[in-house]
Amino acid sequence: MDTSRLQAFLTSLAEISHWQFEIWERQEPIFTTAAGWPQPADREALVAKIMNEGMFQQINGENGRFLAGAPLGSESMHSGAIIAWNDNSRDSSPFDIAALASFLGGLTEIIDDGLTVRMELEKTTEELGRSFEDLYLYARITGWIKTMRFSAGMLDELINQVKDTLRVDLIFVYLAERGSEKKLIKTCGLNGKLRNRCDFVERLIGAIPETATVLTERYFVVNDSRSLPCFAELHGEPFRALTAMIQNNENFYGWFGVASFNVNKIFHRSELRLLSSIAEQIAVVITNTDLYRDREQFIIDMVKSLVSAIEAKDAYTRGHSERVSYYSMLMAQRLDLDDQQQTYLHWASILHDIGKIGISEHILNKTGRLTAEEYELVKIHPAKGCNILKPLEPLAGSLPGIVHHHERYDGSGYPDGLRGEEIPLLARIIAVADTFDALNSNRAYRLAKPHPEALDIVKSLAGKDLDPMLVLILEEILSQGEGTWLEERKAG
Amino acid sequence: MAGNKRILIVDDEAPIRRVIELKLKNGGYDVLSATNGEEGMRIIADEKPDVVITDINMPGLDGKRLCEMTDPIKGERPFLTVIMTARIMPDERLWVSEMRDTMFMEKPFSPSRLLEGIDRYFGVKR
Repeated sequence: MDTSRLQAFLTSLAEISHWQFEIWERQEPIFTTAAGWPQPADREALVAKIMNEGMFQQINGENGRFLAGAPLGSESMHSGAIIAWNDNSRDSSPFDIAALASFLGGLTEIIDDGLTVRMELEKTTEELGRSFEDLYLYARITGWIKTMRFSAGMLDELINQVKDTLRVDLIFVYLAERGSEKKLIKTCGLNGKLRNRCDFVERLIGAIPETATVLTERYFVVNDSRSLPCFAELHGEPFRALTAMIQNNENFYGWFGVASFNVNKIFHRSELRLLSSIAEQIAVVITNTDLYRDREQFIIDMVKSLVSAIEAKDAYTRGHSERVSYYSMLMAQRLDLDDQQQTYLHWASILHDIGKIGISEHILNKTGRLTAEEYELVKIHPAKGCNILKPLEPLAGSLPGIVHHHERYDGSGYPDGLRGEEIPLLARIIAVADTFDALNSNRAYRLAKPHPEALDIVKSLAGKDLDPMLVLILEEILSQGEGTWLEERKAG
Repeated sequence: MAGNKRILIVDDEAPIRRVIELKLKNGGYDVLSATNGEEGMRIIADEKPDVVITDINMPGLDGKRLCEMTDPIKGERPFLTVIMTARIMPDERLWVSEMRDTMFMEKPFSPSRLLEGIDRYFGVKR
């Protein structure tokens, strides 16, 4: 205890009054205002009495001297005493003693209050520090998670971020089976106590009583596994565990939880809230990802239906767009195109012939050669396709691939006669895939050429109609058997 | 205790000072504090702390000025500066990158990360 202020105070007090003061810690005096002056002999006895009785005590000495004191320190543990005695130079009436008792009592109360406040301040500061840690973690996670799509990798990253801040031995995410999604358990353990973490998590979840899933608080805590037999049997050593429900409105997805083998502490309220908040965030991400995926799937399915409708007019091109898309995407992977480009290519390749909707069936299915006028009508279809799709903003990146898929590498194509690298990459890719599939399928005017022959013809067009580099890539793909799978699909 | 590293906290908010003080004291460091920039500069000159943790937004002499004024001193006597800020703006990154031995701490900050950062600076492992 820092008594320097108290000492200064008592020194000044001794100067203006006729009392001397001393501070004792246990059985030793640590400060006196009467340094160098004679001190009463029975001080030690007085202090012992004060510590014993835990309250104000007085001793009447000879010559009208009074010696009195009060205890210091908290009520449960007195660490010392303040004592005082009057100078022999004056008499003091009994009235002074009462006033002294009151004064000493008041003074020690003030000191004790100060001590109590200091202790509480330290506790509060500790608590505040913990809140800061929670806030930091929560701010980091919410900032990061809202940009995420749900994936197993995302969960790993989340657990990683959490483990540095929470002082626990195990962190886990358990997602129940959902439709076609299998059960998923992700864990991170911080010591060797758990040999098979996933197994432990499964059994831990299994031990949560049924009624828990309707808890309004949305978490389940066991602060000592020994208190519940169904938990005690999960591990030889006692542990505490906290699991928060990953739930969004009516959708229950699973649990996010932690466990610790340190049963000397219990889970703080703030930890419960933090884990629940994180679990809520996970639920939101899952729901959003589901919604997004469902919508994306719906759009893709709808487009495929439209494309089928168009291809239905032309008896020979059923499945053509899908196959062109398939080859194009394989080529895109070989070329290591970024995600954005791959998405554009996917749409462009599926929709590349959509412009044919404007071409009459008799031209599309003609067995003989097309007349010059008929050919001109056919040449319109890339531009027509582009016009049909122009209002759809998300497809803007796909339009060049559609407009230019009939350009030729040597510049003799349509509609713009672009040559070489002037032709957008996506269009060049589609051109190769389109040409190959056309040769490899039946047409109104000739039968399908088998695989190797079709490839030879494509190779002969390298540099003329088609980009030579991309032709090589197609060759690679076909030689590695990826094309044959499609053959089987066509047959089946 | 001679040989203990000394850390100065400059922040006008008492709760922040106290939280940092407690964490660092428990970590074995000696802690000094200042409630504003001017006081901070005085303590830096008189006490020569090994680390200065400062808020940016303070009335009077703000954290940025403090950094600019103390950067030249670091040539002779290097020390670590930790800047606490609610959000790192691009132009803040710029002027901080021009300072020697200076690191960022975004608010809300983690007291244990702060301690870790300081330990790392001194090469302390716990």
